[in-house]
Amino acid sequence: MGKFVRVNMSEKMVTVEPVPDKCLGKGGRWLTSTLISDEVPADCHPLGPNNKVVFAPGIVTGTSAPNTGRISVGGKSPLTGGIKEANAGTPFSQKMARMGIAALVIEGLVNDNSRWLLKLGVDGGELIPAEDLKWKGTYEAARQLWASYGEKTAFMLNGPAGEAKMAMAGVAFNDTEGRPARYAGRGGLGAVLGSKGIKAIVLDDAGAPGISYADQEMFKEGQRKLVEAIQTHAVTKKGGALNSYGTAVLVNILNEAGGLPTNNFRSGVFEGAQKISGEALAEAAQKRGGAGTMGHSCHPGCIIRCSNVYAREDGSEHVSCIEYESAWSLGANCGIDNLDHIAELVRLCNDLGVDTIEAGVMLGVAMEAGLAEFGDGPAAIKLLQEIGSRTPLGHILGQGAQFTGEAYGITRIPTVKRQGMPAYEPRAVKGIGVTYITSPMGADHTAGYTIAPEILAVGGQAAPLDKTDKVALSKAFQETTAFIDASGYCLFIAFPILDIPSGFEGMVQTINGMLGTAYTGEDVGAIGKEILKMEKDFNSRAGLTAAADRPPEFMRYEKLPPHNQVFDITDEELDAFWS
Amino acid sequence: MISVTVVLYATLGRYHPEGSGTAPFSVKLKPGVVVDDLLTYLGISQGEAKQVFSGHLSRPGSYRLQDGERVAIFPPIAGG
Repeated sequence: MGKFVRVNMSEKMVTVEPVPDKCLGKGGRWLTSTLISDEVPADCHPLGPNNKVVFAPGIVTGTSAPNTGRISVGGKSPLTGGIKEANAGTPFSQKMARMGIAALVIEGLVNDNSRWLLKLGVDGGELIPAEDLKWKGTYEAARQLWASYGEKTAFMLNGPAGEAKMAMAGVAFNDTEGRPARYAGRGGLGAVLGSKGIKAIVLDDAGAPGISYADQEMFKEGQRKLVEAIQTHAVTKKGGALNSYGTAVLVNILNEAGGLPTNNFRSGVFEGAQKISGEALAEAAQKRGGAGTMGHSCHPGCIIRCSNVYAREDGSEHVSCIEYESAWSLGANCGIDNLDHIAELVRLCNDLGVDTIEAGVMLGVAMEAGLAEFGDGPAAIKLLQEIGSRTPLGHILGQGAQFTGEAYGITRIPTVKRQGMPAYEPRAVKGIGVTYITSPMGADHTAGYTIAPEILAVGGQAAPLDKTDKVALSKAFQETTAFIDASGYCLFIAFPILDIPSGFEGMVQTINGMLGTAYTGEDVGAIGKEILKMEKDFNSRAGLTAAADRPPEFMRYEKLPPHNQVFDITDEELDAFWS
Repeated sequence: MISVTVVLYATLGRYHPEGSGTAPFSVKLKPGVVVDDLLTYLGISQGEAKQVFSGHLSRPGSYRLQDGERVAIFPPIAGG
């Protein structure tokens, strides 16, 4: 059942093969990490001929279950030097699954700086020269793709930052309206695609076989329970917080908890928080009207709808979407409290093809270095434009926060494994610090979202400033998350299924109904553990030892206001994560 | 009487004395009142208010409010 498509960029060959036994029943992160572990030498150069990029929809992606539009992208990261899985919600994943493509593997290297478009249909694929798209921003390239191939196709785009092999380059997929705005952003996989000359992938699913179920009755039963949990839970239901205010509804609560990193992680409180919050986004959508809207979805079948479209004062569309992470990274972390400036920074990130988190953390470090003043939105916009112009400064900034800080002799660089920290301060929320530090992905909040119990009182409750049991808490979250990342479900189903047992049961039933397996709740953790171990082993072979599982040194000695705490979970306690 | 500044976030904005919004407002309360009393005073059921913060800490319903304190009230929220 299903197939692998392999594209060798050295030979310009597209081949199709059956899914090997070892990979049957795997999807998403489980499959990308398996293939990268097995096929990529861990000590290879991330931009050399031996690295690969793997795309894999999740196990239930493309089915009728809700919120299953995730695609995983894997490879060896040029940012962290370790294994990477980044995922996004997009119709691309659903089409890929319905076409029966379990994995798309891009291998080899171009040696002539050429650009290529990979077109995949049900009968196979072809590589098409794409010199006309060279250095084009993703918005213009997206318009060109739908004009050429039709609006029923789905696409992936690599922006100019990826073409220039910059380590903050993400991978863009189309949203439901054809914006290149859904990002597998983290870890620089766009740079790896750039090294292989891949500018775009177009999927035409006309005539696709669709999804087959091992036990459709069980699947339907699980789907019903999961839908009910999502529609019942206060956070995910229609008119609930996510649907009404988007993910940026978190800005105010993190600020009230003293955990919103501000001015390059100098403080946990931002005076302008309210101006960049989900509430402010909803107010702008209502007052400005026009294209602005909340409750937008990134793929068909999403019943949470946490995305948004932000409009300019005249009602014309500025950008989709302003997520919590972007509002924070390009806002509070840079001292910027102007949503119009943040919207332009997000639009630039999308157009250049860079990760908004890494871009914002880099800008915070650049401001620390004196390249702009904290709070100066127009100056931040100019710095990002340097990346697009590919100036020598742009090439430094495009390598991310760590590289930029090193270039300017900065010691306050908020990274783990060279990857910029997301929007939660580890000194004020200890468990998420453990996730940042121990995750094989580098600093990544989605890898084990302990914010749920530590700040949001979802899935239990844990005091954010107390370090007790936080290693165990992060471990449990990371294991469950690795499974959800394999399933194809949006991570936000975790909120209802953590609180509503029948929702969790329904999630597992959909997997079993799809695969014909008999997984139980315990298997979820066990499979997650297996995925993490595989990723950790890759990192060890790549040279990322226990010394890489450490917080940035300044967090050990610099007390963060308002709680005036350092990160006090010891190295020995952190090392216990893997023992 | 003590004076407490209240901020209502997200969907709780509809309990704002001026109709809606997140603008801070002041309420006068009897000395000794706790968080749960404040919620009752504002007409917010305990199911609707998930978290109450003051002094950058999450406070339980039994937390005794002080004169001049600023209190932020949240419905169930999440994101990422």
